[in-house]
Amino acid sequence: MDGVVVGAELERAGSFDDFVAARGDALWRSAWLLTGDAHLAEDLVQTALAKSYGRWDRIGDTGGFEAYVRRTLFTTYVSWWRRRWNGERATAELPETPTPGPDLALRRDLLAALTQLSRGQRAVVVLRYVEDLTERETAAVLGCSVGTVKSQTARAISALRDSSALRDEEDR
Amino acid sequence: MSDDDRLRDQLQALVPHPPPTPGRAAAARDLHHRSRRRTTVAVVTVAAVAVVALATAPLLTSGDEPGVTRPATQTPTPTPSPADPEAFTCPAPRAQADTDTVPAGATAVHLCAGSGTGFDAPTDALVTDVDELAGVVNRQPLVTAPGQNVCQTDLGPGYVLAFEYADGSIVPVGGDLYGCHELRVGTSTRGHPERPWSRFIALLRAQRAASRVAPRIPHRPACGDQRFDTGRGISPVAGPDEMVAATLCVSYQTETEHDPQGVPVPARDLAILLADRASHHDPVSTEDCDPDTPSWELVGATAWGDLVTADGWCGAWNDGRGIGGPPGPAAQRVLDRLVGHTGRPVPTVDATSTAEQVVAAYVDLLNADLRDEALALWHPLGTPDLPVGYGHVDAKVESVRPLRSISAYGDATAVTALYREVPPDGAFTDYREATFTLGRDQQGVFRIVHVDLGKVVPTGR
Repeated sequence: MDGVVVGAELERAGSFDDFVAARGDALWRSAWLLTGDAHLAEDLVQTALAKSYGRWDRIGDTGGFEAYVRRTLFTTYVSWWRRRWNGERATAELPETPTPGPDLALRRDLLAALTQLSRGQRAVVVLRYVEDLTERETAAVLGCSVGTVKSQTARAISALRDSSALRDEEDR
Repeated sequence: MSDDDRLRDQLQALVPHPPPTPGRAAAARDLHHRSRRRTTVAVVTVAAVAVVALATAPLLTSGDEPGVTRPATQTPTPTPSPADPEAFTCPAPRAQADTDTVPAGATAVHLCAGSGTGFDAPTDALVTDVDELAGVVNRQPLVTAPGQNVCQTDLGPGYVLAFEYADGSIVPVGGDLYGCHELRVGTSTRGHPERPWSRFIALLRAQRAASRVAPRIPHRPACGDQRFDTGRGISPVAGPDEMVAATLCVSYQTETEHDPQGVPVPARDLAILLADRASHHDPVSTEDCDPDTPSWELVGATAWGDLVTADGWCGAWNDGRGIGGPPGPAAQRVLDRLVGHTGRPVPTVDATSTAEQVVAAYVDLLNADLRDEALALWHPLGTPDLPVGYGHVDAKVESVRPLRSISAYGDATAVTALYREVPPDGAFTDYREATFTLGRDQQGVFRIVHVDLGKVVPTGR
């Protein structure tokens, strides 16, 4: 019966599908910034969605469910990354589908700098600078103190500024 | 552009276009179902099955990593935020996991009802100091020969502390606050279940006190929401002094049964009542209650959703341990006003009422000073003889028997009762053996034909 939606699940599955169709790519973008790999990003998104699916009935089609999935995504990444993908591919390879934006070399450098960050630091950076969460919200998602968020952010930003991408940008 | 904005823009620009993934939702559902099946089968097993399961299946398996047993030393990152306590499904009272100690790193602990008398489990989970609680469990001494002790068959609550981990796995810890007072973790049995129980309560209370999350506005409970036979309304975590929304449920010590009449308690009145209740520290009388005196009960909810009650049997606070007393003047004024809104229930009778029920209704109507309604309970062929000059009437029905000799009244019936008319000053009055004779009227309703006050029954003072 794997993969088969039966009986009373049909209705909620429809709503869940709509949510995934609408917000799945946004979740994937965050996951990609965490993993730096398209396949691992998809794996992480599906894991977070699977863990959250059981709460759909409770939380429903509101912003609350997306927040819940995001928290799950980040905590799964931070907590399980080493176990799940032992031998993590800290790749600096460019994505398969390049996007318009900064110079290719600069993006390569920034991505390389991201891969040098610890999982916690990378999660903090994505939450603070991509998800636009406050320090307190970031701490709540990651289950750590605000002080930890501050220190992790400071170290991460310091490391990223050492990358040629940001140095070059600042020099312009 | 600030450094932060620049970094933000560059990060956004770094992300490639997501590949088309039409089956993402179906794949997630599929993964969810497979994970749940593994969790259900392998993580938590009912004790009866555990003996077999322990020998054949690796337990405490991560939902995403089949076959991997969580080592006791593993410490997943605490993730309190995703814990959604209201969505948590408690394990079975005798659920068992394949570990004899509680691993560190749980993200939340839920208190659930176990085997024993019931209680109301809190809906919020403990997410702070979780490892400390695990340590309290693990430090309790092992029982050398569990199951072979002869223990008192007293009764008390049983509980399950469900330690939840980031991967969705559960380690249930069962405790019996009765009998052999056992604490169970996996196949091990330990002593002193009171210690984790009381520590959980203390930690959850501290967590609530420190929480900056605004508690939800609770639903105002209704009369009858509390069910002490099932433990509904018995909170181990919160007390009645913490209620923030309440209903006053008013009842009288009547002969006829009636549901308590409920009236919402405004917040200001509730504050007055709770402050007054907290001021009583002396033993309260538990003598018979005058039927004119309303009994009340505050049925309330705390900001965390705990259902709690405050008892005012026979018009006096009673904390359940015999401590309380009559309300002070300010609280009494509030109570009088609220009780006035509920009114006193008026018993009614119909063709389905028994002769005994009609006598009970008659007594209640007399005590409510509803003399016209009491008069209406007399048979048209009878000679009404209502008591006068009484404070209240007591009647304790002792027997009911049919009377064949009075065929003029359908289903003629004699109801004997210990009966007395207590004067307004409450002076002691002996009971008499009264016989109420009743027969059905043309509508088939039992009515009173005659009341015979017999001999005095000595009952002592």
